[in-house]
Amino acid sequence: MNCAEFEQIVTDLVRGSREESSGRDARVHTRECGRCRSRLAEQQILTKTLIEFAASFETEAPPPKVEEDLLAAFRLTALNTISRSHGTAPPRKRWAIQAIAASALAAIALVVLWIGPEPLGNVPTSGAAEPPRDAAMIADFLPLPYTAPLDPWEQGRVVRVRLPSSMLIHFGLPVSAETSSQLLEANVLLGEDGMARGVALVATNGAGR
Amino acid sequence: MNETPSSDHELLERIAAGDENAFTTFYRRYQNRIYRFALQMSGRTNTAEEVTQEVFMAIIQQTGRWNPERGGVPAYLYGIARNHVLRCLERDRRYVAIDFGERESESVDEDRSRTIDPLWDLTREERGETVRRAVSTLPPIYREVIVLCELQELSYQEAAAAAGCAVGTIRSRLHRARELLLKKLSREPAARSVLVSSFPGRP
Repeated sequence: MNCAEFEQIVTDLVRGSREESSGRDARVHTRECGRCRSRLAEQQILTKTLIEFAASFETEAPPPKVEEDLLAAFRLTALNTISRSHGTAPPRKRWAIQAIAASALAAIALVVLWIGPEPLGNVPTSGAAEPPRDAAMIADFLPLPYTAPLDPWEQGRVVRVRLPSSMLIHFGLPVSAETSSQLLEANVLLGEDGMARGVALVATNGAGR
Repeated sequence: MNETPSSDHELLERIAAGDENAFTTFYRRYQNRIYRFALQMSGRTNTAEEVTQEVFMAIIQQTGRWNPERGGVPAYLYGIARNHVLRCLERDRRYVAIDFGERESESVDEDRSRTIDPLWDLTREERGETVRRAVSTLPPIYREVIVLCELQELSYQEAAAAAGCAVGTIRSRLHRARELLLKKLSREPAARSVLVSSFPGRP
């Protein structure tokens, strides 16, 4: 083996991926050639350095949140696959619908929990709430997106809540940056299952606090 | 009673059928390798997380695409990860200045006076940081082959399947990548300072 041939296989040699015969030839060559002996030693130090470097990653792992998110995605995909086989909406569209509906409902629920509802009584089965007497309705009940209307026989319930005006965006209403932190009062129509079905903004003396 | 671990192929079939346990097993089997590959390639934990997520989302959505004739499952996963990492690197390059200046035409084998021995006089942490810096400034195609073959310990065949190229290409790229790395390491200020203190007469 000469120096050029040695150079061709030196990487394989330090990786241990050479056949035994060429490895033996290379060892014989390095005994005779100081330059190639240094070259091999240098490559071996590099390999040792890289092995140590690779070992420094042994404790590196993705955070648990990655697995949680992936499992959530897996469940949705499995659900959509089953639904798709029954001819329902395409998965991407339905994901979006579910996400929007969930965020709107969650937002309403949070507001009710945080600010505290003031029950105003039951409403007729038609699903149209009587407006509170102390307030001038500035809008009829706006149905929340992607929620089913009240059934004709269902008893609805109206609660008064205060909500940041930034919430209006969930109902498809415009929100300006200047007023997004202001509190508005609204009546929320709840179904018998406790889920919000519609919202109506009210104008009171306290509105806009 | 010991259960035989499921094969990758079997797990992929069960994942395609909606088996959540199979997905969890598969994810836990490969999460660290994919995450570390992305971390070693990008040097950033947020990129590594993003890439890990993308790789397994691809499994959730496209389990049918793995072709056993084109390599094993690890190579398939590294292949997906590689594409995402390169995309992230390209995206981030617009915002962050990284030394991508090293070009293939650069001479790497003329300087025989170099040495990386002084690296081993550094502390383990200093040495790790020095190597990390050198690896992270390799051009992506050379960094990739160092990460796949040396840090992830893939064979030439597996690395070729992951990178979508011939085994000979991987072999020659690795040879060149090691040369570039040697050159960078021998130039490292940390290595040089030790070298100068060990051999005061040297320039």
